Amino acid sequence: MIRVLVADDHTIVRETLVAALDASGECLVVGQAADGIDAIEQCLRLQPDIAIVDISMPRLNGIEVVRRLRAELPQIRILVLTMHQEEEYVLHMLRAGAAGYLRKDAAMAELIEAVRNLGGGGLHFGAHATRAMAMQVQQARPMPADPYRDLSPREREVFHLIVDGLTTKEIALRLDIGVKTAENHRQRVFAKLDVRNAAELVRYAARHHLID
Amino acid sequence: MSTDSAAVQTLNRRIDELMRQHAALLTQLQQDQRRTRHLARSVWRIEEEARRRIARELHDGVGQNLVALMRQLDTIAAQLPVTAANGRDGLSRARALAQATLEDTRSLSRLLRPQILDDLGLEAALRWLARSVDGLQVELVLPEPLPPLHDDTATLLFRVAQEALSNAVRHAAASLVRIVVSLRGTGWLCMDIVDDGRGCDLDAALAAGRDGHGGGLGGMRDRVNLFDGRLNLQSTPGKGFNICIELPLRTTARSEP
Repeated sequence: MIRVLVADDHTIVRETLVAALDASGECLVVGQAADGIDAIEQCLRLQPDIAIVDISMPRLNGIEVVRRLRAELPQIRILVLTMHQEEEYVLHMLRAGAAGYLRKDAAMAELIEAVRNLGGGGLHFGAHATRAMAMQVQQARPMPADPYRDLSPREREVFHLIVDGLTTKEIALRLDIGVKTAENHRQRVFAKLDVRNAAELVRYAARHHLID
Repeated sequence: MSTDSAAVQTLNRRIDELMRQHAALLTQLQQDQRRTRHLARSVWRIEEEARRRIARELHDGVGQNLVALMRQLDTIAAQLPVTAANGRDGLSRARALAQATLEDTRSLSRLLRPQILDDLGLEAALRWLARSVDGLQVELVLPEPLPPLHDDTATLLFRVAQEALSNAVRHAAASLVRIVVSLRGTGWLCMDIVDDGRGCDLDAALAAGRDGHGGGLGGMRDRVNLFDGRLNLQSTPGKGFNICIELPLRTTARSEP
């Protein structure tokens, strides 16, 4: 029989969870903890096969509990059971060493399946968590370079004034800056966009739909 | 002659007296200003703390009660005989209602103050924020690594980014926003937010009063000033909007997860 410890500070949630796990006949709940410190102490004493851990807990949050358990009792499989569904939580817990992640409103059948999977040495991630991991992998592609967006606000102003056909002197006058400063901005804009003159700059603006 | 010198002496004494009064008033004024800033910072912190507590209570209290309710409905459903189709339908509808209420509770809680900011810190909160605005592509560039930030600084940066994204969608009809957080020199943190929206006449926007874009921007500037920061706004109609804030890096580390 798989031996399970449940750590959750919300009494009603914890008790309904424990009742359902015990009733499943798949596992035996050997301990219950209402905060993070208690969860670690009970794990050290009871050495369960699986620890079901909530993230938001008093005294020590679930993220730290998972880290410490991984360091001190690496044989315990950890299933995160939480209200949080945002990608960042999933990734944090995964990095900390969790073997499973489920939302608390998951159907009981899925929770039992997760316990069975972890008990057999496997992993179990709910639909939300799986999606979060997929998004992370897909988003890791670098964004295509856009030199226009790398211009400073002032350089962007100068960019548009050049596009509008103003000379360096006129730009200086318009922006109330020195001609030399305006020329510097102009050169930097040219360099950042890799163009040689105003005509090429206008072509760049047209190609990138930057002209009103 | 002697009456003249007596008059000069009286005048000098009077001037000294006035200067002393002036200095005293100046000191008083400076003290009052410090007090006002201190009070304004306290009000801001108390508001954020209240939001944090209500958000947590909603998410972890009400939300989890709903979860427990759903679980109990599941247990009852599992014990019903196969023939009790009506009962099963009713329970299923009740569960769906509890689920919908749970989603509402989550949204309300996030609206007040996303817990991710307190649980995982500014970087995770900004990444979440960048993904969560419908119809807006947000590119986020952060220093690697982001130094540990004081709670106030993290909250302030998050709130400014949140307001900027909301403005970009609601007022500027932007489709792309770039947020760049960087460290400048020793002890300054900068956040530069640029959108590709329709921009606006800044003076008009700032004068627009307490509602909409103007009020939001004015409030943003006030809050940044409260924490000894600087806010710089740039915009031209048709050419996007740029918010740049600089904040002193306060070194007290927040408790990292």
